[in-house]
Amino acid sequence: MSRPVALTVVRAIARLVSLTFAPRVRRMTNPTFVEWADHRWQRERGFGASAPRAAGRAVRALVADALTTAPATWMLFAAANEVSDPLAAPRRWWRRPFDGGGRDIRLAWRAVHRAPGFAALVILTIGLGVGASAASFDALDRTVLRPLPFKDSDRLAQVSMRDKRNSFSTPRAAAVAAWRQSATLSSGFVVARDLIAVRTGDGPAERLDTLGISPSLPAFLDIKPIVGRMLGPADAADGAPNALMITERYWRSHFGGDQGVSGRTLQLAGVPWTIAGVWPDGARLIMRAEPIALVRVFKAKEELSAGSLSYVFLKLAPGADLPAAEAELSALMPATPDRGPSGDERPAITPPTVFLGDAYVSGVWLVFAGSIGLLLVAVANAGHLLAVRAGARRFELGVRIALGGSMPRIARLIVFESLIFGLGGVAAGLVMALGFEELMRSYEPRLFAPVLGAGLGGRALIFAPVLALLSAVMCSIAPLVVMRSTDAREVISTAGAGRATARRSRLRTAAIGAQAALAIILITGAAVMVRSYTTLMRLDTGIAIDRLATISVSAPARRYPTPELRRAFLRRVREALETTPGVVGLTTSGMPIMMASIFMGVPHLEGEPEPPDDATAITAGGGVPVGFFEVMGLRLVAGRFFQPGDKDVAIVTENFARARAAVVGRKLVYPRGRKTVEVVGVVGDTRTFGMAAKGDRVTVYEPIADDAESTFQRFMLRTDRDPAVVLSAARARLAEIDPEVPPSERETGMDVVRRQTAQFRLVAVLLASLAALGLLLAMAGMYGAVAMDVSRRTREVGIRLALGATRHQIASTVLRRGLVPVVAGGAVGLILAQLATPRLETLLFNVSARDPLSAIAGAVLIVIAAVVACLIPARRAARIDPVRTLRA
Amino acid sequence: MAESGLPRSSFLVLLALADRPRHGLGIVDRVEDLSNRDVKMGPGTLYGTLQKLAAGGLIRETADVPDPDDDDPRRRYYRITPRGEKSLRAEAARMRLLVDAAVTGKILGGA
Repeated sequence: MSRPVALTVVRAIARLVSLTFAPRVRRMTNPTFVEWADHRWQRERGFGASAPRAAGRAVRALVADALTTAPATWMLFAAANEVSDPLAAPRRWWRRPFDGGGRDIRLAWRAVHRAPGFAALVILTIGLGVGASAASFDALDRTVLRPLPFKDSDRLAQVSMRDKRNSFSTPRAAAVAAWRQSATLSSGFVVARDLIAVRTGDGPAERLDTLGISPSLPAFLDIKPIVGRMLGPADAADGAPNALMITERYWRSHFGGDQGVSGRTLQLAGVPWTIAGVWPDGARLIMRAEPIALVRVFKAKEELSAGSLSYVFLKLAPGADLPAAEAELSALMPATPDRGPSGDERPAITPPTVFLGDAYVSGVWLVFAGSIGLLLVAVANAGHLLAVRAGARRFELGVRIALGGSMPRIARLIVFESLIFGLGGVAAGLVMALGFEELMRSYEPRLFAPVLGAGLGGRALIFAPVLALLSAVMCSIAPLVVMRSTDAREVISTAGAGRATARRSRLRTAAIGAQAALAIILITGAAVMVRSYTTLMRLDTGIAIDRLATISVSAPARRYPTPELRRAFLRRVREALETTPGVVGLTTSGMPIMMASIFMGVPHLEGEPEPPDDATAITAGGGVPVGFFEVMGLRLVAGRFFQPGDKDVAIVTENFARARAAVVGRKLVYPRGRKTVEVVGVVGDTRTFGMAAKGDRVTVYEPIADDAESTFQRFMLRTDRDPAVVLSAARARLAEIDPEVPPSERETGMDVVRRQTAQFRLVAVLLASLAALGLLLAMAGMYGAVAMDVSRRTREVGIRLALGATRHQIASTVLRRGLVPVVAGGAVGLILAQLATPRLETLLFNVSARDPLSAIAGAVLIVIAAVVACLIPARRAARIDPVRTLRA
Repeated sequence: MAESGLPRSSFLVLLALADRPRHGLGIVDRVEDLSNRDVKMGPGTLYGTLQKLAAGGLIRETADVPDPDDDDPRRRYYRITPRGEKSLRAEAARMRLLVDAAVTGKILGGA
């Protein structure tokens, strides 16, 4: 039986963790660490955990064990004699090179222990890099790398309808019913749909985003409840009591994570529902901005009753070919009416919607790359620190060699030392990773809270130690180089007062140069992202965005059964909003702020040739009431706004008019000649397609009567004060009219801007923080290297001063010796940055990836940092007293 | 239970040994079950705790293997000593006192 990879990893980590304990513990534990790991593994598997999860839990317990107990064992057992174990098997020949490893580790530990300040510095440096990397890896892992947490997730797919122009719609109920019955290459066809529930009976009514699912969905995807039971077919039967599940998130926020929540009831629109259990947040089926609070199953007839179904999931049969499965579904489709309005819709099978879209994915990768950059800076820094120390310990090394210590043994000692730093780095890194994650979560809860669970994911817990150990090994390269250059005879004869060799100087140059190069790449990348974000925020939205608020209300049929009652209710709502203090204008709108909802192809003016159907030039359209433009603050460029009684007229945005001589008074032809209207006005451009939408798209407005027969109305409020304040006042007024009808889409204009630019801001902020940390580390590294250099050259400087060099000359020599490698490394970094940044293109907004300003900013920052870092050592060098150094 | 009495890991190990002798992994499992799967005692912690308890005379290594099927000679079995039982009882009594206080203070629901 082959051993699972995850178990092998756990065993290896158990061995590694055992190294953090005093040797006696390692030797005497019964069970041994590996036996313990095997046992833990079997037990977790026995509890039904998946292999990675079992591994994660085992590693977590091991790390906790090491963190809580290991340090104490060193103190407790340090004095104890080595105990030989008569039961131990004789050593195999291939293990002999490792003989005495325990002693070496103790020696290494002692060496580390002797210089706690130094150790803390190295551990913090490595920990910073490891922490940032582990946190961003965790985000990457949870959102991008990890397969969906469902059974057979590799065969799981979603089916939607696609027409010739590649626009998607959702399958119709009749088609799903037919597929369920006859499809052979795919199975399942379980349905999920967004619903809204209104929780009543507990303070003001609350709208809760709800997921409606097929009764068979939990079993199909193998979703397990966190608490209580999972819903199933029994809950869908006619006459079954009302039961629902609350999501993990809602459970924590509203029920304080109460284990006994099952069986309690919630009032939804006045009807009691029993909570069956808690739905795991990991089992997120669909991508949406607002997290789901409730999950319920469709009752028998309800499941396929709606005309079209939001999300339909299937599993391909093992080995089934995707085109064949699509063809089969297409063949099984019922006759015409279900082929969509254009009659050319085909079923398309796609992977389940990726969590947060392509730009998010690239953003997370970018932040991960940035954190690896930071880690490399940290490694260069720590490696140099260790090399400097190895240099300072040349005497000790020389003595060891002279006493017959073999080179491999001494090399091993150095590697062990680095490993101790590495393990310290893991601990520091994990703590910092939690901090970083908390930062991400609190900074952009909408993006990260649903993705990041509590604490680090299992794979990040494996990733962090591996990374730290790799860093430790890389860090030990530099001291090994120093060791190789150590000549025992020379060291002993000069009693350790070694001269600054060319080799060591090269090492210093390389360390400073590498840090400068990496830092400049980080800074340039961050600067480009920051510039992109600021460009975005400076965009003119074309509307009075900072004085707008939006609030939507629908008149539910259960409370207002007749059209008259609904109209009367919405009229009262409107009056209440209009008279809310701070509201100076009110209009309704078909579209939310800066979010096109009706797309209409490409219109043209009468007499112009019909433009080709171009997806990138799609135009937004929509009906707006009289007074809309005035309230929204759109600028009139030509013609007029709508007036009462307007019919068959339109107002277009400036970008449509710009390429044409005159627009007002001419006829506008809708795509495919559907209708013709007269253009009566031109308004300033606005970002109908969203803040960050690329391209320059046209919006066409048409007049509609304000008092539409709708049960839903979206109000836009123009305010003369902070719209957030007005909004909460408005909310209170609406609650007075009917506390059972909570408004939705409550946002200020700036909320919309923030929401739509969150992704850009997030990447910019994270990358900028990484760059700042990188710069700080690099500065510390430069300072350390130059200061070390100065202290080693004290005597030389003394001689120079005695021979007539001015203090100014001395200081500038020190500065030069620090700055030359920075400039050289920086130049290399700039070139690399120019090669790397084009990868950012998709994440950028109106800024070139090779933005010269960002490169210059990077260069200037790094030089300033270098000068600041070198200034103190330079001043110290200039103040050296020649007499004292020569006498010493 | 931080300041006075037994440390938590010691208490749990004693509790695990209260009914019968167990070997290392057996203690780990029993502690996990007793703590409602909350405490997963790592090998280092387990060893350290056993050492401390043995040094304090609260537990002893024992030669009689309660489970005759288990013939793995590497396994060491531990059993609780009378002294260990005494401190376990004292600790439990102390904890009950606290729980009673919590129930009276309506922090916990109680019988």
